Amino acid sequence: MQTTRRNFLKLAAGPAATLAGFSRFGAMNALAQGGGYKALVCVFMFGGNDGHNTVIPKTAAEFNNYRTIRGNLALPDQNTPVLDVTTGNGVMYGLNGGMNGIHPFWAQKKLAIVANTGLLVQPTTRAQYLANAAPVPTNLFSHSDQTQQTQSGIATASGGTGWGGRTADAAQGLNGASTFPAAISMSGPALFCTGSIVKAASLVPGFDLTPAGMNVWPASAAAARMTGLQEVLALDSGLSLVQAANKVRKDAIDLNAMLKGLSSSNSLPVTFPGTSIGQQLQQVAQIIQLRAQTGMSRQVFFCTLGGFDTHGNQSWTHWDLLTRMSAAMGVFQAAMDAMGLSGQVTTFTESEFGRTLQPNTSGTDHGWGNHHFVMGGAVKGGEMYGTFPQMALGGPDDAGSRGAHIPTTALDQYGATLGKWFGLDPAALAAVFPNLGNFAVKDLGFLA
Amino acid sequence: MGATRQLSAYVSVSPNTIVWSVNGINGGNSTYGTISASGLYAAPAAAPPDNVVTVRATSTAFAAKFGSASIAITQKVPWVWSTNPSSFPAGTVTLNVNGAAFVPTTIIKAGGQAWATTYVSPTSLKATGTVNATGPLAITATNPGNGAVTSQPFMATVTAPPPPAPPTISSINPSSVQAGAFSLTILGSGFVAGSQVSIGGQAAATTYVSASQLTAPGSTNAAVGTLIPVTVANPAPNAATSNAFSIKVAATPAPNVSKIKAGRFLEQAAFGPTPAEMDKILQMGTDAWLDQQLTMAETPIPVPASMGEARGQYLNRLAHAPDQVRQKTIWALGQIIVVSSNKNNYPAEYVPYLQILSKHAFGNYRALLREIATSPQMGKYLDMANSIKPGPTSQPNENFVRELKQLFTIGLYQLNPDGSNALDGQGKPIPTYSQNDIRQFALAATGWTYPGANATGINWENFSGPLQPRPTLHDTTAKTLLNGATLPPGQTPDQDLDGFLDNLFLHPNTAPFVATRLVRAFASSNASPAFIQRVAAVFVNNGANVRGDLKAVVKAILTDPEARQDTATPNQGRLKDPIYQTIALTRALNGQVSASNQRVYLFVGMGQMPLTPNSVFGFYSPMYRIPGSALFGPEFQIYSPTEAVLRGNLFQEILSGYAAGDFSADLTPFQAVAGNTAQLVDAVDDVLTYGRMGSPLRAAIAKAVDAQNDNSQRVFTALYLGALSGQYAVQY
Repeated sequence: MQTTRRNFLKLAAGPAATLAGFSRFGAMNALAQGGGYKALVCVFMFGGNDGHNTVIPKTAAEFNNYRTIRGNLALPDQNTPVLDVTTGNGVMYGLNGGMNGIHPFWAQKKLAIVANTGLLVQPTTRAQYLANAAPVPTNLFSHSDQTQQTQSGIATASGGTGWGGRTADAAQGLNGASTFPAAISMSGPALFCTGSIVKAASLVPGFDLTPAGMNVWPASAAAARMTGLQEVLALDSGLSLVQAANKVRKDAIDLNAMLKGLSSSNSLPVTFPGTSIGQQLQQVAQIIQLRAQTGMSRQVFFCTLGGFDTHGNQSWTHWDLLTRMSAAMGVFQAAMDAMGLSGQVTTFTESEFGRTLQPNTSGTDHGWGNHHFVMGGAVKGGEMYGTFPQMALGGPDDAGSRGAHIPTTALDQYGATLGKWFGLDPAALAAVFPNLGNFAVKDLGFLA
Repeated sequence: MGATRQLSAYVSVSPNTIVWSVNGINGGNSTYGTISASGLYAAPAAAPPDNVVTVRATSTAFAAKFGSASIAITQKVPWVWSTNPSSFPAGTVTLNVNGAAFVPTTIIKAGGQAWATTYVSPTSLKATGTVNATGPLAITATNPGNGAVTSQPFMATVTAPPPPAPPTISSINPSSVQAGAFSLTILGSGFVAGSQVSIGGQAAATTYVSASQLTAPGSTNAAVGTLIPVTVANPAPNAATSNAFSIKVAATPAPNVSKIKAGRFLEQAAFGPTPAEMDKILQMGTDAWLDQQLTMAETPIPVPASMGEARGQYLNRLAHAPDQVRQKTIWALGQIIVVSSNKNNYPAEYVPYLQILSKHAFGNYRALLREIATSPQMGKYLDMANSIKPGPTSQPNENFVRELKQLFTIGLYQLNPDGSNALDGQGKPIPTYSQNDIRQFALAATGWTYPGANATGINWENFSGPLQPRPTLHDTTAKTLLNGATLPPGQTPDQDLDGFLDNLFLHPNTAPFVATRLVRAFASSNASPAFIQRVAAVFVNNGANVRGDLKAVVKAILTDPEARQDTATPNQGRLKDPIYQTIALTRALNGQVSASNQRVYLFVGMGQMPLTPNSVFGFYSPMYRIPGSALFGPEFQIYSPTEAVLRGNLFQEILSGYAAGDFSADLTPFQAVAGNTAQLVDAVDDVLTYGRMGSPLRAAIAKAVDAQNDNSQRVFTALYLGALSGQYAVQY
């Protein structure tokens, strides 16, 4: 029988059973003890990050084109310096000064850029797009749809599962019989983490899921109150929504028992920033640190940072967002280095879309392709993958006239490269990304 | 000790005088006793350690001639004459021992075992001990110490112990049960740890509380009036079964139909019932109440000094404003047309938006759209303010017109009149607009700025009045709208704005689109297409050939037969969102939501910081489906385990009184019946679920209540478990 988390939760209904459950996930998986552990950590920039002001071409001609088109949004400006990086074949680019938290990892070859990547159904040229000659993602430029598609990994339909969850599904065999949640969102329920086999879990960093009001004297009264709650939540009212509501509360009790059973004596080797993204990544590091107790050898994590929908007043806002993100990511990488897990944990960025190269008055509008970062010891870093777009309005990469660039690398390829490193075989990757077959290159090569 | 004894000696030589000594001391001493010249020995007052003394009579004539005798000095010898009782069953017993020469240190032994002995008098003792063997039992008394001495035994008789009393049931709580599951508390005597309760002949999972109390769950589907015998069986070696004590199957109380009707109506039309509002509806009926609401004066919405105050005042209005249906409509419209204080973070940038929703709540959707579009609040939030005609390095901002289409009016796909997607020949949904359409609308929406000093150009953010048109910054080309409509070239900003708003307002999607969202907010996440279509039809025509009459639409929702279906169907209802459920709990308990509320921040963790959704998509999508289910459940999008626990934790603060300054609750009606479990659960069921809890939920709560130590904990337990139940989480 395939043991799903739901099955485990049933087993773990009572205190005694819960203890049995813990010893089950502690004991089962030798892989987790040795070098077999791997985790994927997604940092999702909600709102559509402006990739054009995150990675800037520094070759003279393209830099000038960029400055001209970007006008008063062009970097460097009075807020934001540009941090130079050079690719393996000597091409210079600049990172937004807000990326200083992870910029040092470029030189350490732990950081790579995947250029102009995004949602595609198949490779698409400007001519095809303008002539409606190729299928493209539905409702391009719409936050809700592109957010959903970026998380579902399916550009042609709104799926009910996410590619993080499906990747965890496919790696389920590597987790043995461990039943700890395999895909965990640190930012509320997330489609990205929802799988068909594994159940997504969401956690607020540092939060204790023990319901309040359960301590009362004498102990028998406290026990009866908690038992009463469990009985209340187990009743079958015959009403679908009531059942679904009860299940959420019951999940909370069961999940709390699992987390409480994990060792709390562990401490992390570094101090994380107090920002939301910092605290999310800290909790990821803690759960990774508990891998021996959880018995997990493959885990997917989802963290988010919002506010990237910079239609106006972009300059300072954008620098500030990137500063918070890169500071947290940098500390996270330092933690993985200190824990000896650098090569086993790969962090990557996502966002629903990029933004127009041409600004509006003080901001940018919804675009399409975007630049993303992959970070970790397994990354063949200090390199740019994919094709950097031409700085031209109405140019060969433009979906229109404002520099909403048609991606030259698909999310499917980006995700499949991560998935292959995670341990998925070609058949599994094809199942996670249904449109992957439309692309010749299925491994972008940025992971060793 | 202390006794005397006369000794004599015969001496056959002359002179026949002798000298008496004790242990070699002439005349003896106080330690070993004295002896007189005439041979009278007096024992010492206390027995010496070497309690045998030698008394010697030595001839005065011949010192080598002597005669001697040994005298043992003992404690006083006690006597045991009798015990009361003298015959007793095995086990632990206390005996009154009658005898003589008892001293305070006298020890009673039974069969050689020392018993705990209490000295009463020289002739009476009490002794307690345990004896297991039956038959004769030697009772002796020992006076301990130097020269200890034990009495002659008195033979008592140990009889066989009687069998333990059989279990007896004296009462059962409750004495009658309803069909379904229940939990019994059995009171009586003679219960032991292995006692087994049987209910109607079926062994029940028994919990031993004490020798006089057991609990056991049961269930029945027997007819009303059936007597169900309950017995308690004790296990071997003293197996015995109690008397059969019957409980009666009572009729499930007829649901209070009018109360359910009123409660459900107030859940939809308002933020749940208060006791007063419930009474009012029970008196005047839902129709008259609704008509009164729809003509009630608007509760003013002041612009306070801070967003913190604005949030507190908002919650206070939802809880206490008399025009509840309007407040509910503001809340529902605010889920369609969204402004968030995460961008508009000063009251002047935000609160007037609520005033606009309030003003038009019972007005016309077209007028609402017009005032929203030209409000500086929306102008800032979705960037229509200062979006100007195309220039060398700038293009019109598309944000407002995109969300106006996608979220405020028509949505992404063409809809049938019942809200379902219209499909093309291949069964695929048909998009309502393209990227080019977005651009056309964005061009039409150019040329608006904030009020301010510059009468012809752009002004910086200013929220003192509506946006103002700037014809010179407006794109005056012709534009193509949806469904073949066009805007001619050369129009003013106002003309183009009204043109594209009409284009969307008159779009066939708008009625079912708005109807779907309002029905999900007011009534049910999974309303039938027919329900949507009936409401959409009223949006199209209110009966007086007016389109977009929101008062008629709200009334159509609240009076629809499907909304008024008071017997729950399996997929009925909507999950209460955090703000709604918290307000409703406070109202149900006749409490107060403070306008200067200090606990608003707690809603952040529940995913619903008041007035601060994450984006223009609101706190949750009206199209969200329950994970793993085909059913819609918009509010489930912010109901993860974490968020559910945080919501419950706020309820704990409210119900325990910790939050009283922010969210209070009047618990006196519950405290009045706190001692009676059934009445307490009745009261909670009545207030939270209008008597619809059902036996299993009531029994689970009752069992937890019965385990509590005092009345305040009983009240808290009943309300807390009721508030955490799925039946209270869902408005059904």
